[in-house]
Amino acid sequence: MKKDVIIVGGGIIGLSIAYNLLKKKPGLKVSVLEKRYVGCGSSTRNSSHNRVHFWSEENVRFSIKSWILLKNLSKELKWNPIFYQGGYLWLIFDEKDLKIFEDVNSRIWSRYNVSVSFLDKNEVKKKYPYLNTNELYAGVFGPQDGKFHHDFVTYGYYYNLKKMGGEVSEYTPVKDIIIKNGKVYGVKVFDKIVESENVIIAAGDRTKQFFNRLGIELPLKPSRKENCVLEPTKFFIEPLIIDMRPSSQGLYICQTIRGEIMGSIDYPNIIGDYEYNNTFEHLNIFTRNAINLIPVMRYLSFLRIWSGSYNMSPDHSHILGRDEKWPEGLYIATGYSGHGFMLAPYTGVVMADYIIDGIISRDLRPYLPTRFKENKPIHETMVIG
Amino acid sequence: MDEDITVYINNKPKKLKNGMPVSVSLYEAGYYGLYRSLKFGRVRGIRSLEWWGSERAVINGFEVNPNIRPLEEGMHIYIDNKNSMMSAFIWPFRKYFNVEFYHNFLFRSKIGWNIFTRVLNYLLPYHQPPIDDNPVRTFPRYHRVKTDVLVIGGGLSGLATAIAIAKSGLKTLLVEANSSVGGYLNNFNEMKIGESGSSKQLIDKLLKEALKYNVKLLTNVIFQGFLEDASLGFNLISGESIIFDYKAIVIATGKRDNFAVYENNDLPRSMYLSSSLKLLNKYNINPGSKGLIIGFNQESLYAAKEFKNRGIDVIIVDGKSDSLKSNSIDIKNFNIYLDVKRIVAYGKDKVEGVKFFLKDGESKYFGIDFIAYSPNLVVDTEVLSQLKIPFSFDTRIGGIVPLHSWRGETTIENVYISGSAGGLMPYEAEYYLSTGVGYHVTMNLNGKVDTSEYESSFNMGREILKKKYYPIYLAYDSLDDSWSIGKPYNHYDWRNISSVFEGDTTRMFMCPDVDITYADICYIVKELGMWRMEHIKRLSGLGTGRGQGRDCIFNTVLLVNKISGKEPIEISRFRGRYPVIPHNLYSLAGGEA
Repeated sequence: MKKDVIIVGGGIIGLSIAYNLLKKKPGLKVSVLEKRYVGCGSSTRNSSHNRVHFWSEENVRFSIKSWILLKNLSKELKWNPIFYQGGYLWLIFDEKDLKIFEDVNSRIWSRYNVSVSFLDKNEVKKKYPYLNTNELYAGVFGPQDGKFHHDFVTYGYYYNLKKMGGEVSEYTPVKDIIIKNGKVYGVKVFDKIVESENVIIAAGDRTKQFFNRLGIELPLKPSRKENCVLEPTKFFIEPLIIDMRPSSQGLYICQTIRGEIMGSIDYPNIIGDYEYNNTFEHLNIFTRNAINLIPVMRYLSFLRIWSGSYNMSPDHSHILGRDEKWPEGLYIATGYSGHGFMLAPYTGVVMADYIIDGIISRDLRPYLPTRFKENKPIHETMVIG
Repeated sequence: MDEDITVYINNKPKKLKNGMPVSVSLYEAGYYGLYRSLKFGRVRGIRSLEWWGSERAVINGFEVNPNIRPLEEGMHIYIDNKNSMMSAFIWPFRKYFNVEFYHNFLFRSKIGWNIFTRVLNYLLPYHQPPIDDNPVRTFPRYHRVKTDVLVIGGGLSGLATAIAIAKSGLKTLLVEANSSVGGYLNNFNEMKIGESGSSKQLIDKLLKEALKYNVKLLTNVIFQGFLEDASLGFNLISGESIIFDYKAIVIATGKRDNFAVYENNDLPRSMYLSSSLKLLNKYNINPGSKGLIIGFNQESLYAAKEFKNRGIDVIIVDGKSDSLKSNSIDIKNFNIYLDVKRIVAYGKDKVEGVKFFLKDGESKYFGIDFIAYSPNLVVDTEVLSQLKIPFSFDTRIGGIVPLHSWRGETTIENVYISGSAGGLMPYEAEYYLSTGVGYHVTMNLNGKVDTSEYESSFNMGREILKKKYYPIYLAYDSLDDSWSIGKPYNHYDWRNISSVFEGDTTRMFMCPDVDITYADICYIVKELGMWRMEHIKRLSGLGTGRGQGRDCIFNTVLLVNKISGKEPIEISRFRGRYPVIPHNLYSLAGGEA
């Protein structure tokens, strides 16, 4: 049977797009094809935090809209995303870094009502007594940022999508995208062809391979990130804490409201399509840096470790929509560089508008894949972990 | 050594018996509850008494596993041994606090969720670590140990394998998590093994032999698992991390009792059969004066005999109706009820009585003070599930079983499986087959092996399996074709296993760690239509607690199969993650020694 839209990849991005397509146009035949189970991949392998504090105007605009959707998700989906606004705390050890924050604040954040408070060393010490503030210069606190339960968001979209008549097929890997006469004809699944004129590829790390087979080169590089989950304690680390020292290798530590402390560093830097494994190298450096920042962690143990992936694009921002030169009906939604989950709710809205109405909105335009050729990248440098 | 020492329990001085782990000393002094559970705030006590147990207690300000922490003078212990007020309020409404409860209107609404997150910290039963912002200047160093072959597990099969390898002169290192070797057999005073004698004699003999052939023994060391660039261990006593360098590794982690799912199965003083025996035999403490054993098998009969010798009355119940043929123990001496459909434990913060319902609707009530469960034995898959070794499902040999060949080879080079870790078998067969695996590993590493010994140990082991030992091993007749490296297969006959009983499903805990009940699993499978373990884990949080799924995986597969009819291999298990037990951060932060 012919589908109106096929979405390759049953992660949060794919589900959100499918949900919004059906919401905008009920009765549309939408089919999500997932290689394994729903959310397998980066949707279950992330530290489930969201922020509006980006360093580029486009991303700030996009993330605010996504944040508002995320906050009201429980009303819309009837699923509780366990949203908690704990904030982000950047620990700054260098005057130069503080200047960057102040500059971004005056240029972008203040214009979009993204609030931020600058704390001096004593204020940080008083508010977060568990931190080792010996070398600290200042702190920057973003109160709007927060955390949620990624699985509940994923399943919330999944169940609502199914209720609206969307089709989600698990354990159905897509082998190929079939192009006929410069137009998308369908996808190949289990030696069968499912016809559709619109195919959206939101397959995370695997997206690049699909495009490669069509002869389209995408500037994407998956980068493996390892994460360490500690045994639960009482909830005492409210914000996600980011250590800005270069020697800390991008250390961040957070705690879920269920009590598990989580953290990661940006080391070792494994780029490419690697398995989701963990290394001793990471554990060794992470534990040292984490204990250095929160000394009480030396008494704690970790329960499990896992690794996920950031699908990195050259300007650390996502790639949405399509290139005019691509076969007609082929769309992309990937390359979030670690921000996929938090931006998924609004991605769904933007992509649904684009596919159904064909209008490139103000929020979509900067993220088109053509921006690399036209040399109009987004100036985003803030990637955590 | 056994003098009483003073410790502080909830800030009150108290004399406790020394020379034992904290949890055992507390049990001996009548403190049965240790901590409160995540969702319902129910009081929980010792369950396993093992290094891998998910019990916790607050000792000197930090939550630790009290089973591995020895009692010390002046120790500050904080325990929750009473059900909280909150729990008393929630418990009658437990029906509404299922996996869906976050998503009901009250919690989902902005006001409801705001209120909930405000009071959340009062509800969370965890302890707040004390604030300590003193920078840490030095870190302990980790050690590197080099060997030819690393054997994990110092039970019967681990010892037998290590001896066979060490005979050829290969450097062999045996890692055992407990302070002494013997494994599951250590729980029993005497157990008859084949025709060769008792379990104690056999272990002593093997230990002597191992030392004779220069097997290096590392006790109190946990093998935590495999990372991409290292295999790590953790010393429970010194708190040091160890990196193992080896040419081949043999997994001989063996088996353990399965968790039983019946009403109020989380009450303190209900524990694994092996833990009740550990109390009795290792620490010389009576687990109670009258008890109930769930599970009717060779092990439970030996246990009942040992309880009886110590003047403890026990009743044995089982959901199965098959009677067991055992010549070594006279069944007539025991109070046995088979075909039990429903078990209800009574008591407020400890077990005080039990009622069970027989097939014909007849019910029996007994005043008892402890419950020991071993409805069946399951294979320990914690280490192996970290590797991507395919698993089969076979209820006759312990549930989730890693695929491997007769000679112990797995799908991964240089990783071998020996003994019950690859499927349950009689102890005698285990001895011979493990020896054979040892010879095979040696042969692959170019060591010298006596081919006649190699052949004979395999033949003797397989001969025993074919002798129709007792019903559950009958299937070994056809082992040759199905149980070798090949495709994962399903073989389940739930008539052999009854670890999940009937009853009020909201009071039956599948996983006491994170308070997931029978009813929750039913809700996910029936209402949400999700039956894969990966989905169940994510929707409920099953297997994310301290136990990391040890207690729940097998029973959940059983239950999901019962409800949905899906094949156990398809239901599958979620991937085990490094490490096997919580690993201290501090011990990893240093450089190499």
